[in-house]
Amino acid sequence: MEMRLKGKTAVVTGAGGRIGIAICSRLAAEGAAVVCADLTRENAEKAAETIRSAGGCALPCRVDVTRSDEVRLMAETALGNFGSVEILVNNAGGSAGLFRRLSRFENTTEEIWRRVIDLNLNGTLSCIHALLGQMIEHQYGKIINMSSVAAEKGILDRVDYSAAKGGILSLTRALALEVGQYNINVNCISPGMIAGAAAIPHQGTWLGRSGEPREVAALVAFLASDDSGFITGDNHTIDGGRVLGVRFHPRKEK
Amino acid sequence: MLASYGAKVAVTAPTLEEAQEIVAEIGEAGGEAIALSADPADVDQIGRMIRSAAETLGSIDILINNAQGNLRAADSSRTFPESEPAQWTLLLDVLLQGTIATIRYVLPQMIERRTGRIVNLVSVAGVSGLQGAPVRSAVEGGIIALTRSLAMDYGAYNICVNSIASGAIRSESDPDSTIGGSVFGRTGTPDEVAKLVCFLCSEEAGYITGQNYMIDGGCTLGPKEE
Repeated sequence: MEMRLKGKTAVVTGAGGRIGIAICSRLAAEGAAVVCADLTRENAEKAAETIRSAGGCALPCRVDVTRSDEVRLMAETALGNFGSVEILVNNAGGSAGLFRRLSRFENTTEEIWRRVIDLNLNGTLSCIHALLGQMIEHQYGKIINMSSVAAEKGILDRVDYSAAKGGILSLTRALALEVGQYNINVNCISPGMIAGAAAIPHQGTWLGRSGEPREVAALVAFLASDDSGFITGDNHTIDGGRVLGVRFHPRKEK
Repeated sequence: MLASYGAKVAVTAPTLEEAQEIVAEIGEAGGEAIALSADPADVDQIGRMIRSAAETLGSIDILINNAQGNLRAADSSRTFPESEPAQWTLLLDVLLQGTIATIRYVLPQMIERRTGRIVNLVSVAGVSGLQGAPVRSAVEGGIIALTRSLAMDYGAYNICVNSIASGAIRSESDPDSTIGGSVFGRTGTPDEVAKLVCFLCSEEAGYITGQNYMIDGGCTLGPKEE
């Protein structure tokens, strides 16, 4: 493994999820110290332990990204321990499926869509805001946001999630414009159909299989490294071609 | 850079001399490469060149369509209403038909072996349009659409097809040519494009297909004027 991130510190939110753990492990394997941030202490510890057992450097951190006071505390913890944060991966997020409330928009409630937008969009904005100042000060930064194919294409029963992820895509572009002069790259990734540990055959992608968390993590590592220094403000879809082409939606009889 | 990562590379250029120069550079750096030439506007020559590459190397796992240089002038030497069909044909033949033909002749053995990576290099013109370059923009937009369609058709054979749209990249002959446009206040380097190409061709990028990855320093972001 190339050590492209030696001497760097990364903050990864949603660290304990299947993609989050893969991202944390990969960044650590390339030499970064990783702050594993997650909503539950247990998940944060799990991600940190995975890194440590492989010989990497990790710090678990419990954070609810929808609470800006907790996000500020996370930033202080990271900076207090490592001095600076060069890489921020805003991986925390999810649809109303997280709390089993997926539905057609006509049947949703304001409480649901506010929760979804808070978690995905406001959570991302809070984390960036808490760490951007020191990136500007150091004239260096890599911000990687998790968007979704929902942003560009929409997904049924996820109108709120599609809106939030579309917001992440747009903020990525506008922020890239603002902070390029400080040598800060801002990009987003749109994963689609990522399975557990290993890829499984799947008719939902043109490659005929699902993706693996480690494949998303490899893309994150590329965007977090200096190999991608001239890439900013763009969306990077990794979905096995899931949303390519034209779909013919059958008209439902009422 | 592909050679430095261990790939055996067939370097192709309009003249054999150009290709041989690059092969010599790869050889000096310890890599393995062969030189081939074809007129990029001649479909039959492209077909023969690909067959020859496949025979010499054994198989072709990776195809990089990068034939785009020296054509910028073809679109911008005259305004569009004054342009001659010969100018468009040059762009259509070399860029669009050349790309289609190369892929056409490489695909069968990729399908047979159920593995392949194709990366088509275009510029931001194909995504955002480019003032003074309508035909080139159309051709590059065509290559991006070609990329997406091929990704659907041959995904089942484990063949990933992607494009890269580059912005202002410093040329070695004229390092200060185009600085404007990027939010970083600098141009990109050929090395940076090569890193992206290598990533998309690596085993790790096997779930990325049908995508256009921009490497433009953000030059397509934002409105026309602040």
